[in-house]
Amino acid sequence: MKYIRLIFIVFLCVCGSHISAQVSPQDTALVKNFRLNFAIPDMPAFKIMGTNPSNILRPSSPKAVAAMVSDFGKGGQVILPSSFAAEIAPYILLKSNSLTLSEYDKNSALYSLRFSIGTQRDPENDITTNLALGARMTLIDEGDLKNDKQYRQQLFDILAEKVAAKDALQLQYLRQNNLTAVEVASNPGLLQQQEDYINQQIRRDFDASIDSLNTAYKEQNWNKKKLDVAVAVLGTSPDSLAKDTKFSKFSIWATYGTPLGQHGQLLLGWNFNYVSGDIEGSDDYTTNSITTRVYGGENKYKGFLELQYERDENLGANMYFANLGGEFLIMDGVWGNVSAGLERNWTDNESHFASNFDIKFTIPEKLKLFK
Amino acid sequence: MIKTIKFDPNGEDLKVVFTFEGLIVASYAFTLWEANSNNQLLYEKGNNQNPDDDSYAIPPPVINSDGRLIQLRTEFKALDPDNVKQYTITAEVFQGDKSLGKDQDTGDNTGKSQGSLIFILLSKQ
Repeated sequence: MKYIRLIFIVFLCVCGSHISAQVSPQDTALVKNFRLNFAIPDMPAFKIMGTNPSNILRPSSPKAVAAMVSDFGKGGQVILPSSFAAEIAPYILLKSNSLTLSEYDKNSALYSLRFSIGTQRDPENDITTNLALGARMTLIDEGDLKNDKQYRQQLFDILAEKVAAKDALQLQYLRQNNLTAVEVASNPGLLQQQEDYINQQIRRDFDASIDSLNTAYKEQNWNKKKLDVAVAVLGTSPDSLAKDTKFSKFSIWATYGTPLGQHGQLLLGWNFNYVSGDIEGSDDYTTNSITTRVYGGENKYKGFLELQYERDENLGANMYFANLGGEFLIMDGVWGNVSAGLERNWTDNESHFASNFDIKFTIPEKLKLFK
Repeated sequence: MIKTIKFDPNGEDLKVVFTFEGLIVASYAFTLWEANSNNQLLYEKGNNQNPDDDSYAIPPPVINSDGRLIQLRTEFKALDPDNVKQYTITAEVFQGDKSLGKDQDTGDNTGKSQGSLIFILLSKQ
């Protein structure tokens, strides 16, 4: 089991080292510095395992494949991580390069559908294994240019002008050189000459117009409203081979992101858990929590402040959690997430300190899954 | 490079259908060139917002299409190059409902403005 885990981690690190930067060259300083673009995925199948007292599930942009590992510490020592999760977007993987614009418009919610699977070895006894399955969808995403018809119409218009300008120059080239379109199309050398002529003669910088349109869009929309919903189910097995896995927990999340001024973002999250008493030898019970988190900083290094209230029906207690944390880019596509906070049981008047460190990955940008 | 597609000069009417895959925003111009001439029989502008209007009838009679050149010039931009890595632009010729053949341009989505040019020469069997 340890070897499999080690191979998995090495694979993820190698993948991560190939990933290119997520900020495109044409982004302005504003976008680079403040686009809190949910670079780090949060996966329902990871979250349900409860590696962190925070119950908010970050909204994220769909990635074809993503993975994360956690629980690097035990008894003050650094150990092989005991929690893993991977997430796939099946519609993206299935349709991939064959996806048309109209198909996307009809199935944009399906495009955001992601399934995750997670596993965790109980850090207490090193034997009990948790297995989790999760699903998530993005219901509102006002900051995504794919969904913005006005942006697309502007893009259509610029591209149409570019086509018309190129066709006019093509006619000019044919007449100047007393050639027919068939003669040029049949001769690669002539065709190259024609296209070179067109590209040299074209007056307007259409590419700059498109870049400018994109940049303006991102500046105005990077932190627009977003709503993610997710569910997950957790099973627990008494051994490391995951035999006799029993239902342990069911969770629902809803997370709403909204602009906070021009440069900030506020997340509001709700989480409901139904926990089976079989594992803990008690009655079934539920928990409910609401969480608010505020992000600030730069894209590569940003901090957050989080406050959470949770009602735990098993303990009959009101729990509060205050958390401070940060996210940082370790290498392209590989992110670290560290946080520390104080969890307080207000009913029993008890408090304890909680800390967490995760590493998260996404699929290499240059890796082509499909031809 | 030009591709030649044969048709039955005594068969049903011809049409050409354009498709745009790879989650791209594309504007195009379809030119139907007269045989051995720079006369444009058709010059139609369009985009891939709605696939239903990306089909064009080749003016009859069918026999007159011998030597005509179909040109599809497309300018496009990929909407999600991180997840959808490649584009494919296809021009397919039909006689009635039967596909006679197609030409495709496939490449990597860069996220920048990109161009494509497809030629199909119609020739009688």
